[in-house]
Amino acid sequence: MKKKVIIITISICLILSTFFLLQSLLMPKYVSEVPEGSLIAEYYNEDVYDHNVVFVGDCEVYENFSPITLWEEYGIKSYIRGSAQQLIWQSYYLMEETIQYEKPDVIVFNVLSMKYDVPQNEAYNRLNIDGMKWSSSKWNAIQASMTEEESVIDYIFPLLRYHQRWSELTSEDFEYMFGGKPQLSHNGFLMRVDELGVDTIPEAQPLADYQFSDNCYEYLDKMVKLCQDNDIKLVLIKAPSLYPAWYDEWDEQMVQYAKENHVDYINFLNYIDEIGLDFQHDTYDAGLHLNLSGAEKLSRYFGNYLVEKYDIEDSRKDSDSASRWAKKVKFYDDMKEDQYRELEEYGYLKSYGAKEK
Amino acid sequence: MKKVFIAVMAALMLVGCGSSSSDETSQTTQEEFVFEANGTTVKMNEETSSILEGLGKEIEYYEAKSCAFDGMDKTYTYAGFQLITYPDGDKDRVNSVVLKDDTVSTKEGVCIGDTKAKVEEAYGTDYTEKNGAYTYTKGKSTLEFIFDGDAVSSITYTAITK
Repeated sequence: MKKKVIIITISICLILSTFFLLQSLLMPKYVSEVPEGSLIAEYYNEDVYDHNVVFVGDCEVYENFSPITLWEEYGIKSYIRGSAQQLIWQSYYLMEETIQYEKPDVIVFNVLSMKYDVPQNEAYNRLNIDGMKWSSSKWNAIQASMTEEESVIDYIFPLLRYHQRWSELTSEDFEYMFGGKPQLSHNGFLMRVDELGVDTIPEAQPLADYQFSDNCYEYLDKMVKLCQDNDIKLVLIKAPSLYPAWYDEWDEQMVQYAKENHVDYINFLNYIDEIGLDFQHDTYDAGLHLNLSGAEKLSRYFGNYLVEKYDIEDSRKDSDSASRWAKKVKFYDDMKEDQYRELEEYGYLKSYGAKEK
Repeated sequence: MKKVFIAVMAALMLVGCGSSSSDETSQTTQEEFVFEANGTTVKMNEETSSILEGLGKEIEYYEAKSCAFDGMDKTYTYAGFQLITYPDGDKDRVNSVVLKDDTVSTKEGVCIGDTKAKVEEAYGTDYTEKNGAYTYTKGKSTLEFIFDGDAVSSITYTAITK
């Protein structure tokens, strides 16, 4: 009998170990390819959760704002919890989860995702949700995000989703199988120093219906309430990306919503000259996202607004904060230098997800 | 117990042997709405290289990084219409065609400025209506007409990619 119990126990351990090993190997690592997939998880690497400002939203936050500039210019400690095509319910649940870690003075939400009424794409869901630690927020984010073809079991056991990656495995899958991935972002900001100026922007397509959905408004209401309940100021923004289109009809709805709910709404597209953005030089992909130069300009402008409007304290005189952020600044400066070196050497950012021109 | 152990191990092995379902390429096996210009047929979800060759040099071109994936969403502007593509591995496929003015029309002869009656005459009444816009679905494609009063103000062919 005793022998049987030992055999069963060993068998179960073997099965679980095999499952764990396979899952660790086959989960995408998001380092050289699709680094956006690492952003959500990197938040948990922070030593101290004492950010004054936290951003949530899609690529228009993690490509367009530089927390390092906010620190260097204003002593604002900030973090960007952004991810590719982050939908409003994902932003809400990330916001909810963030508040379990810290109570920032201000949470900034980029409103572009108001245009998406329903779950869009399983692959984007994965980029947004897989990196979250397990919590009720993650569970609710999964429930709100799943497309018809998805199953919650695939989120609980990602191996069931990624088992077909056998043929795509690279050396990185083995190298980072048990962690140890390099830090890729600067408090959630993905840096790109290269330039691709705007020649033309496609004319916006007319829409049959410009009204944002009740579903999106419900999540926006929840954001307002969550922030009110936690004494956090909510700031709605539209980043100054020129494409995809941000329709006047959408803008009017956000202006009205902000007025009715006593929150600030800033459409940075209205302040391109004041910010000093030059779309021949301040974007790396013809107006979708800002490059480093553009992100630093926008951060200077927004940082000044945050300090003046919300009286965010300057933490540069706090020795603990200064010490921690000095390391972040060095990492930022080193990456900046390395990106300029690659640009000089190869003509494109070979190691940073850019394609050869 | 031995049988259970073997069954579980077999299941685990199978986990590593399945084929992808979500990453499969979109297929256009059913009949689709098609747009024609310059003697070239543009079918939703079709690979674009021969289509672009047939349409000739575009007036304007714009490409946008497909947010987190390899490849670009591309917009080609021609006289009277835009062709928008999406990446699918190394290829691009037709995502949508937007008619911009009345110099071009649908294959069934409807152009911007025509009446609702003409749309219904050409395509019937089997449409879904939202905010006054008519959307017809055929195979893996939709054809949407937006109206300004009784006149067509926008015509868009769109691929169903899910």
